[in-house]
Amino acid sequence: MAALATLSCSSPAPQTAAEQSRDEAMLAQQRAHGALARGDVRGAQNQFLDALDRGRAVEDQDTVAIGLLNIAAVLHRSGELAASRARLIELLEHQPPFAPEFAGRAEARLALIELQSKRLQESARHAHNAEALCGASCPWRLALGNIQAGIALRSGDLASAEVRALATRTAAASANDIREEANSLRILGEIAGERGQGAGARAALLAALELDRKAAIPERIALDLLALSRLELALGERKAARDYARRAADVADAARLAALLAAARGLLSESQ
Amino acid sequence: MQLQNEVERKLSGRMALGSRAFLWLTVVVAAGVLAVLAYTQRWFTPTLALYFYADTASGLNRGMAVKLAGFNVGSLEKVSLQGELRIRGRVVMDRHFRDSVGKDARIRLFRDGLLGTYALTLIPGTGDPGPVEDGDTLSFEREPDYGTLAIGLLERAAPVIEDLRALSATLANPESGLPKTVRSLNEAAAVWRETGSDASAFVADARRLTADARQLTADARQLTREFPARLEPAAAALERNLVQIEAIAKELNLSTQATLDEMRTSLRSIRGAADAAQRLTAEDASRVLRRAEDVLVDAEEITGAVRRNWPVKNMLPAAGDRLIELDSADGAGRPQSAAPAP
Repeated sequence: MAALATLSCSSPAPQTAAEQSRDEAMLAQQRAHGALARGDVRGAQNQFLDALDRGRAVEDQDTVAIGLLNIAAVLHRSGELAASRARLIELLEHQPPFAPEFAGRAEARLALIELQSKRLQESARHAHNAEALCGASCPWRLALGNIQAGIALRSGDLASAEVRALATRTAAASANDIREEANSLRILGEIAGERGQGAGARAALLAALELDRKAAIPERIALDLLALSRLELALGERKAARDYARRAADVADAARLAALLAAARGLLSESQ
Repeated sequence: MQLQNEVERKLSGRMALGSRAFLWLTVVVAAGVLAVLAYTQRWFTPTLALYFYADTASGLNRGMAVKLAGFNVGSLEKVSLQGELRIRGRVVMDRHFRDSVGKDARIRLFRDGLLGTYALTLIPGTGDPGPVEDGDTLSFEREPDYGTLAIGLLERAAPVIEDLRALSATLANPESGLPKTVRSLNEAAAVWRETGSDASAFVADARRLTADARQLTADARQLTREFPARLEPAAAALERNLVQIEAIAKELNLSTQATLDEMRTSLRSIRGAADAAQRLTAEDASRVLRRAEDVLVDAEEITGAVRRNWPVKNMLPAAGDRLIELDSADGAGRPQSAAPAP
């Protein structure tokens, strides 16, 4: 036993070039996530690109796929939809094809991008592909459910949208996924608003706000407050609309979210 | 009358000759001046055009000097936008210097001293691909500044410090770290004693192993104590020097704007002081950066080796590749810069 312990405590075998390359790629990923946590989006992008290049240099398929997905995610969250779309298409058209776990994520994000770009047919096609690649269970299932609810909502099919959003909300609650549960509630609030059900819409949006505050995501909190402000303005409640808009402006200002701050100030002027 | 006409004829002939001579002289002088001007403007100088691409035109000015080993060999003739995010520069260089510039040469934008203007310099390459031809494209680079280098170093230090913290926490964890291993070994040694078998050799081995493990724990504790402590002064010194560099740069900028006329008259003394300051900050900053770089490389090697070694390898969670998972509200709060898809 002493010999075993001594052997195991001896110095490790020297790393191969592939292991070293993988370690460096993982270090670059780590730096990228660190930069994202600090809010340095440009720095994170550069580090993800570095990790991607290192993966490409040794044809490490997984590292390349993860690099492309992460870069697409960062671009998407920065509002650069065209650039994000290009990276996702690059992933899907890659030869040899990447594993379904990566292609499915790419299809799901493409579905969301097309939905936000108001190209509903394209969005539905990518959502269908993402669902096919998901199988019985996958990490993007809940997000995909909300995206499909959003597609139905934008297409005017409120009944289907409500069914999807409710099913996703239930699944998210049991999986303890606060983010997607809040997203489902936001969609349900929008559906209720479309139907003229002010009280129902308000309740759903307040529930979403509560969840987003629990998750402490400033961008989502500001979005919920803006949605509440618009709802109150549509219902003729100017004071409530002004209060929500002021709160949204405070959150957006503190979190340096310029677009949401501008929207909040616009609503403040409207509700004067 | 005939005499008068004769005189008039001769006089007008001479005057016409004089006027013609003066006109010819004027033309010759004008042509000579034009030729001299053309020569000074390098109209007769054979040149060749070189191109480079950059991501921004910041610092590039039409007409700025292009140098080779400190000598002016050409100028930047044109800077134009190519596509959305690319700049193309056209440099005109005296053909006389063509043999000194290889196809693998680089063009670097640098500032001539702290207060100097920007200029371009040709950096010869290390290979032997032959001299440049008219129309060749060279790679472009900008002179790095210490601020950027220091920020890069700090970014590299952050994950290493995180690793050190994780290692020290894991090793010191009473439930799963080395203390638990030591306790298990002690218990195993006690069991062997209790069985009554010939455990004296085993007990001695276990005690030796326990002592080794305790030493390992003490070494690891010392390691986790010392390295952040050794890294701290280097990082603190680096931060102080960055603040100094920033303050010097700000002061120089302010004084430049406020006292431009005075600086022109006393430029020589200011240049000397600026060069001395640059040498001082360059030596100081580079020394701190080198030291910090050395400590960082050591720390990276040690954490990597410790992480790969048993039993630490089994105690630490696998680093894994971290995917940013899709959230159905991604991009919802941002202004979108999407062009319609074709």
